[in-house]
Amino acid sequence: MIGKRLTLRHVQKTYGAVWAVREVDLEIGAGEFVSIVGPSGSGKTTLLTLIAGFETPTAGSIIVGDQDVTVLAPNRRNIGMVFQKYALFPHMTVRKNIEFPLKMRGLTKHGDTSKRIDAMLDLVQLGSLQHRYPHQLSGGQQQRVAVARALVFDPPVILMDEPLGALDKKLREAMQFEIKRLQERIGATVIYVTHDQEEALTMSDRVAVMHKGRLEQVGTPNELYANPDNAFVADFVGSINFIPGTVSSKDQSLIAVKVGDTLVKVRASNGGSIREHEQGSDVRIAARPEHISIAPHGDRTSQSLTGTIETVVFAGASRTALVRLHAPPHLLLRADMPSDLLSPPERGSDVALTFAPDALRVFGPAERTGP
Amino acid sequence: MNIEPSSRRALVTVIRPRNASRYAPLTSWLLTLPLLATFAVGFLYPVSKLVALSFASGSESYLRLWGEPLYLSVLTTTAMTAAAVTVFCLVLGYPVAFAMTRFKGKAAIITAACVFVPLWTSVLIRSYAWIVLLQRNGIINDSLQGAGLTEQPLKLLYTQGAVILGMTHILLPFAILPIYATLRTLPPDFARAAANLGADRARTFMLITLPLSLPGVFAGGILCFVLALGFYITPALIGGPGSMLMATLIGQQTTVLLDWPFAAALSTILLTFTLIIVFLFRRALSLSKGFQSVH
Amino acid sequence: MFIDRNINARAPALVPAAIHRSRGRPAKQVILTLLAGVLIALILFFLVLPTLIIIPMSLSTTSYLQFPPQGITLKWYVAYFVDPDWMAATWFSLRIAVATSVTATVVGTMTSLAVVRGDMPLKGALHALSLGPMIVPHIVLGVALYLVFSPLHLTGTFIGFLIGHTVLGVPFVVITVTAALQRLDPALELAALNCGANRTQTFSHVTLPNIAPGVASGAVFSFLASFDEATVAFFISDVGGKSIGRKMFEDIDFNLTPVIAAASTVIVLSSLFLIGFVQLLSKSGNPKNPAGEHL
Repeated sequence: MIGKRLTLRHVQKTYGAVWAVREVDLEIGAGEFVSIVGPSGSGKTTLLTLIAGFETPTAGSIIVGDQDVTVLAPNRRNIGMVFQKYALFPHMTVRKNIEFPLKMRGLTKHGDTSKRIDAMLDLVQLGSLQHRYPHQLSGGQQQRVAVARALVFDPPVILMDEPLGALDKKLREAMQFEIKRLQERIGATVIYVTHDQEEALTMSDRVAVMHKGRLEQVGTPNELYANPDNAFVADFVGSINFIPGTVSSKDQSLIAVKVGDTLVKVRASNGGSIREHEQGSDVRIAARPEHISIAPHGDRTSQSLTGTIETVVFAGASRTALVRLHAPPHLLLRADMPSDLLSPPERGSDVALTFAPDALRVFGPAERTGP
Repeated sequence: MNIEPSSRRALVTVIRPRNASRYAPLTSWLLTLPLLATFAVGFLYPVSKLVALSFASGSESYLRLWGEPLYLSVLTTTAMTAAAVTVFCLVLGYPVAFAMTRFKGKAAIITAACVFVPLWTSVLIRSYAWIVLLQRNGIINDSLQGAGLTEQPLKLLYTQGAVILGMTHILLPFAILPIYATLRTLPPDFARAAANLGADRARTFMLITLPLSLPGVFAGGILCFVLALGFYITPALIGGPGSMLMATLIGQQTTVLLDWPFAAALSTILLTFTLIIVFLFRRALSLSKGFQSVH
Repeated sequence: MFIDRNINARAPALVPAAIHRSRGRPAKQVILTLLAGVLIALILFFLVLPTLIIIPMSLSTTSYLQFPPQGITLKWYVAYFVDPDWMAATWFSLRIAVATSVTATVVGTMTSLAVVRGDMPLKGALHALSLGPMIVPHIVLGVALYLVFSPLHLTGTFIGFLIGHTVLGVPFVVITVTAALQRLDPALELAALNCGANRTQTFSHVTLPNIAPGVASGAVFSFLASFDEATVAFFISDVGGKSIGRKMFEDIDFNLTPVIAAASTVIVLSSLFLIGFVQLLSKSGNPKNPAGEHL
């Protein structure tokens, strides 16, 4: 295992009056695969740039293993990086590209590095293409050269900046698996930046959600999906519906939220920060599509919302219905229906929607400028 | 908070770039030193000295110029000649630039060669060629007489017309290339969209293509005008006494009359006029657009 | 407006093809297309005529400039190559041009690096200054340099020419190298740093090989700018040291002989050969280098 621990302590980066990264604290264990996800402009690439040493943080420190590298020049950090568009040297062959980091470390002068390069070429299955130039390779092959170049000098930490962004969906999925396999085999610590939350959930040990320069939440994929700390994370990770309402009553076990004329009950322990909110305050109920069940309109109860089916979308194992609520008017909800439903509701028919209290969450009202 | 000692950070900001894709401030300054040294010796100091010389005896040289109608008429002739050359260059250059964006294969190569070959033929050689073409028993006069259009050879050389012709020829590529560079970047979708919306070709051109290519026309026009203002070789060789321009007047003052302060005053006026135009139109003028596509 | 019609019919300058492609269109449009083709062909002919005319001129048997030539001879080429004056001027200019292309390329490349990658105030002003000699009338620069060089006995010397021509050559290098640097993906340099290369290694292993085509064309253009230059050369030459530009200017002005045509042909053919060679080199020598495409 070559991986080392990476610690970010109060890392900040400002450009003039603009905050790119604010107060980021993150501890990544040796050999851990951590993804940083967030919308564009959230500061995730800036954070990577700071770790690579291409820019210096305004404040805070970056520590690899036991060494503080905050102001160390990028070429002396010994951190591998896979660039967004690979940044392969166009005037060098595949082999020369992979040899480059070894050459810069003076390793090619003292001792034979050809075995090491051969082994790396085998690992990424590019042996037969080693004398080609980057422009003669497909996107996926270029991607593998970039990975090989970042791995060949055994860096304890590897940064990946949207490495699969330029590939089509099929190839992306194959490469996700490939990268994960390489990382597990080598044991390096990986920080993987992507805007694709699905990719992050698939590949990572832990995922950090970044928004407006801050880390909103760091946790395992399961934690983020099941227990999002705030509405942003809930919205960004997976698909979710927000239903506005007002707290009507609450006790130790349940919060009752009034949506239109209906009372929707939510387990109080899922209230998050809502626990402080008083009766009558505005809130949003968050419900994932798989936690909403659809029943014929006639089966409605006092706790179900009613609406009209607008569209049904086929999605492989399930079908997703877009339901236009009657109250509050015009709100559109996504609800999953099992594919094997005998008589699936038709477009235009009225339905009743019910929710499992344990699966719902309650967040504060939407910020005006929020996501 | 864990902040670096401020002194270390201060040092780092000079010798280390703020951003690794830039060079450090110290490196940047070192890189500019050779230019500053060369230009100080071979450009800025000589030009300042020239300007200073023009004021050596107060404003006498300038007053003399102001008082003499001949010199004032040279000023206007220079501006008019440059303007005429610019107009000719744009009128002849636009169709060629347009053709360059549409031609394919051999026609494109031939057109490009016709634009680039003269550009890299020395101005002297081209002026010489015009002498050969325009002289009393040159090809043009021979052909005219051969066709029975004229009885006597016409006086073509050493005229104002010859100067405008020669300068137009030399500056034409500088008009073509910026227009071409602009036209090339126009997405064909605009013209297609206009056609799709019912505009015929003439209207598509007048309402879409031409207005969008105006920045290139403007850049090429300014470039031609500015270069034409200071032209020396061509008017000196193929112009006559009746077609005196600022540059040829300066040449005459220095080589024949040896009146250096007056030549310096004329040079200062030419330089100032050129710089004012460049400054006024600095946004429109794109030197790199004109020359970058040269290769 | 008819030009536009031509363009949309995609008519090349070759007229029969234009007719062929326009088959089935209204007769009026065919005629307009034809006219446009003829117009473009005429402008292109106007562009290349002066360059082409010197070749038959240089082969003419008559010593008086005449066209078409009465017979074919190489005696003017012989005259050019045995005349000590012509040869002295040619070698002097060659030495100056080679040295100029070296100094201008070094100075211009360093300036471009500072302009594109530097971290310093006044980068825009620095860029403008480096392009200045292209805009300042050459006659002004020539007179100014004469004023400074004459008392220092630098006129007619190698070093005097080198200074003047380096100033004139730098803008060509700055334009080509700046363009090459702007096309270069900054991530390549970051990748090199990340791979452990220091600043110097990054420049020599990654930056320079990728901007090499731009540097090479800058070198060629500054070479030609020096070799073809006549205005500044006119002022800073003297009896002892005469560039080929000055020599040619004098001969055109005083005794028009076909030797000038022979010399011009040699110069034009070598220039075009040089440019063609550099283009081939940057295209075939480095096929994997996308930066080479611009040449």
